[in-house]
Amino acid sequence: MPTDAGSAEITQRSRRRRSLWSIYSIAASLVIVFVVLTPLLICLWGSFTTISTMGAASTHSGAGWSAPGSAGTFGAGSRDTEGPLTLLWYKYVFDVYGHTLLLSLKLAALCIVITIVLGVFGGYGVVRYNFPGKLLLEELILVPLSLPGISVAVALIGTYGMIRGSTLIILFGHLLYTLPFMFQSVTNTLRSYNFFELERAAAGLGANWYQRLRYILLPNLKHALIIGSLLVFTISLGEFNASFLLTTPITLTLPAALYDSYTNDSFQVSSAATSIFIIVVIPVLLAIQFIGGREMHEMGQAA
Amino acid sequence: MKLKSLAPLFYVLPLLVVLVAVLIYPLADMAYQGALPQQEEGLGAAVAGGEAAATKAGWRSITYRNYVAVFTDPFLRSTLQLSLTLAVLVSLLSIVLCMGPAWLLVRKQFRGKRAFRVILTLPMAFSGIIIGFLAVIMIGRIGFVPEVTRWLFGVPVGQGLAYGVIGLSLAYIWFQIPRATLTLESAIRKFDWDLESAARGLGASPWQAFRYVLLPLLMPAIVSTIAVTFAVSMGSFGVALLLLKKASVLPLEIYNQVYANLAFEMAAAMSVVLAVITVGVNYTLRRYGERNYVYAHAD
Repeated sequence: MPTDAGSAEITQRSRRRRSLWSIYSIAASLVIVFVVLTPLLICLWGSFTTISTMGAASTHSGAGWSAPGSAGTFGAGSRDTEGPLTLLWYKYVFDVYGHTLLLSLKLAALCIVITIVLGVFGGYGVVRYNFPGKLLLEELILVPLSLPGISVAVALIGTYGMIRGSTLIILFGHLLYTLPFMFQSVTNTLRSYNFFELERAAAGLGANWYQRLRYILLPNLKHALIIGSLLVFTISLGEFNASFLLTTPITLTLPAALYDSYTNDSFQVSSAATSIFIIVVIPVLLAIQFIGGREMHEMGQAA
Repeated sequence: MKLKSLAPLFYVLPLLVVLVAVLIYPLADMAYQGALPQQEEGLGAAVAGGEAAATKAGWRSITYRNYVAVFTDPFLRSTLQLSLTLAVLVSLLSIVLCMGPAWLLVRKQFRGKRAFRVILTLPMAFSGIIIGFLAVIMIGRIGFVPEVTRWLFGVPVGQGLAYGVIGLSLAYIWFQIPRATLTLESAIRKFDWDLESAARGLGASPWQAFRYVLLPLLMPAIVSTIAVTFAVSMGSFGVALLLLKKASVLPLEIYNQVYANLAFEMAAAMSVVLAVITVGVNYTLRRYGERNYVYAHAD
């Protein structure tokens, strides 16, 4: 039968096409796994090692093992330690860059508090009410997601040049980039079920403004606020594009300090500094992934 | 009655104040500063013509010279071109790389799927500066890839690649893996795969099925992904700052204008151009993608 033969040929061809597609998909996935994990593992290994074979870092020289910047005590690092592994690089990083980690954590905490306040009130207002310019406001909040960090930095320096050197101007930049995540997290939850019915019922029973906030709004937003806080934490801690121009040697954030480390320190010290960042951030990332899945996708919209 | 109409304002006001203070006013101010003539800040000029400089500072007329220079100055134009080329190229390549894995995540059940998802979202947490460092680890002068290939074949492959435009594109693609995969995944999830088999059953050739059924259905997903990856690639600054030694991309050049040339007005004008391009392209593509989702899934 010609038709049967024809359709058999078609299915065969489409099966071959399918298998080609599968091979490509699996190969691409393996490439991704390899390409993502390898540098991270090398970086972790490098942060502990005393071996000088992979002097890959120190972006300028790139060559071999060199003693960490401030020499002296640490210059003789590899000779002071026994065995192939050491925690010396971590000690060095904490001594030299410890305050930057602290500043970054403080900024992240401040961002969480402020975005929660702005997100809860603003999100409530936007979802609950209709008012002129509402759509414009919602679009405006999302603008930073596609706004280049360097443009924001130049804008903030141009306008708030007088407070350059304070952490306030860095906080401004971080707020701009973290606010959309908290806001979206809150508004998504408020829109997802009929929350306002509940509130109206409570109001009808005589609950005042504070009671409704405390016993209805906040408990229902708990999940959204946790996810939002984790996102804000990750974004704020890793923010570099905008904050690099805003930082000064006194107000150095961790990512900006990493740049210093990459240009000045040995591969091992740079690896240790990077590993600290990775170790802080990965649990948060995992938490976001396991608590909520869609938020991860939203985070992808960020620059 | 009057009080009730003010309720939304009460809730939204703090948000509005912050947005005006950190977003709207600084951006407007930057657009204005970009339109000011550049100050002659040379040491000689300041010493010689102190009074002249003072009067000039007092009254500085608006000019569009800086904005025009972004497009006409040969060096700046080449920088802008490189940025745009990179952003487009990286967007397309990351779609080619991530389409298959996104499809696997939606359509297949396999062991370690959750771990795979975790691994591919890792790059999301890292800022550009760290990605630059990781690129040096992989394809720097003594990077992992050249060392391993030297050991295996005696030829170092990709040695020092990290410091050029190719290495920069690879780093950018690395960066886009989670963004592209997750955006594509959520799009493919909404996708009706029966349509493709139906088209084939009705006698469409593989090419026809792809061209007239699959591609139009996938297009919104691809466009939405490009909306994200384009904006991220255009605005990325950390990777270029660490890696790029010979060429320059627009964000890096803005940084140079501020720090090396002390030409703040020029930097402001360039920032405005960069922001308008990035936000504009992102908004347009996002709109297109969203509209067509609705259309494609109106059933």
